Amino acid sequence: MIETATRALPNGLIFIEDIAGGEPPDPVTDDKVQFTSSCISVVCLHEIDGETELTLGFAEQVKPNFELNFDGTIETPSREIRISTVEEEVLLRARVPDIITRIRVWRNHPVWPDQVVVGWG
Amino acid sequence: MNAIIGASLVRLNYAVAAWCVFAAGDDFHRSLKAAFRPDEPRVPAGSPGGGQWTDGGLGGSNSARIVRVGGEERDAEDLRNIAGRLIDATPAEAARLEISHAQMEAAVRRVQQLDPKWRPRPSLYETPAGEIAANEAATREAQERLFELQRMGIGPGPFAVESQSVRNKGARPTASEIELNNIFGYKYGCHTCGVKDPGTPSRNFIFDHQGSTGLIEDDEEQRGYPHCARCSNRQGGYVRALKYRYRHD
Repeated sequence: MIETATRALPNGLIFIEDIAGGEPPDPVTDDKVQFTSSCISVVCLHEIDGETELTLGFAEQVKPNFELNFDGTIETPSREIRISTVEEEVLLRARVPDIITRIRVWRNHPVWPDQVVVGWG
Repeated sequence: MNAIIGASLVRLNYAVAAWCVFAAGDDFHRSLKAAFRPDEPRVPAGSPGGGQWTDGGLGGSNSARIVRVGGEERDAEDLRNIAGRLIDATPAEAARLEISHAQMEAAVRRVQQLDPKWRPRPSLYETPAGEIAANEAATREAQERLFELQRMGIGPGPFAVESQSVRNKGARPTASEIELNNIFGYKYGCHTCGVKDPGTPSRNFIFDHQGSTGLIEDDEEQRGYPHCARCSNRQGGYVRALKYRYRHD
């Protein structure tokens, strides 16, 4: 199942993690995608510049033609992942089969993406 | 017989004189060894460093208070009320303790306005001098924390000059607020790093809400400052990391 949400994102950031919350990257660097074993942060278009379209789904189904920016795994002990804002507003969520889930992130622009696709599995 | 008694008296005189010389020499030796004065103050038995000499001063890591031995009991006036506690300290110590405590409280309060759950590392101390050192260390720690927060965009940064009020907590800015924010940004730069290029495709500076929306209470006032895209991203990551720490510390 593929879900999408379009939102002006505070701080131009989203976080991909287990539905119960993961440990965000700290210290924070200037990298566009940062990650820990339980959370991935992705830089998107900033809210002052408009909305970003977010897509979440099974990787083989959502795979776009954008550049792949991240391919790795995160811990998902609740077997459910979420995409949320800095203020922890949940934008999208999806059930996953395992407690470790492969995540891929595609963005349509190297600096100011207004489309970000997150594929699991 | 008289000759025998006379010889004994001579030997006795000699022994007494010799004993006096030895006693005087012993006194002299002790005074040389430890600058000994019988009336010099000592740390009382049972206290840390008990029995050792003290000058009662503030310097050095082993400084101790002068404690009167014998005589009348200490008056209650000798105990000073510092930060709600009665402390046995010299007037100089009491003044330094009071100043260091006030400085430490002010520094911690400034940090907690931005990072409400921050606390300095706890310290152990036994003497007023130890407490002064602990207060000074906590003040330094708070100043370092404040600098770190400012560098991450938590709180108005070192380049913050002008700002505007925010209607509602975290509210998106209107066109006129964006325009005014750009005027501030292009004039003074990003409030955190000072750059005058916003780093956004629209060329608009980001309208940064201070205190940070994710960290303050609903009724706290916010103001809008110009932010560049890079500092805004870093700030967002740092706010999220702080929220995680709040839940897990």
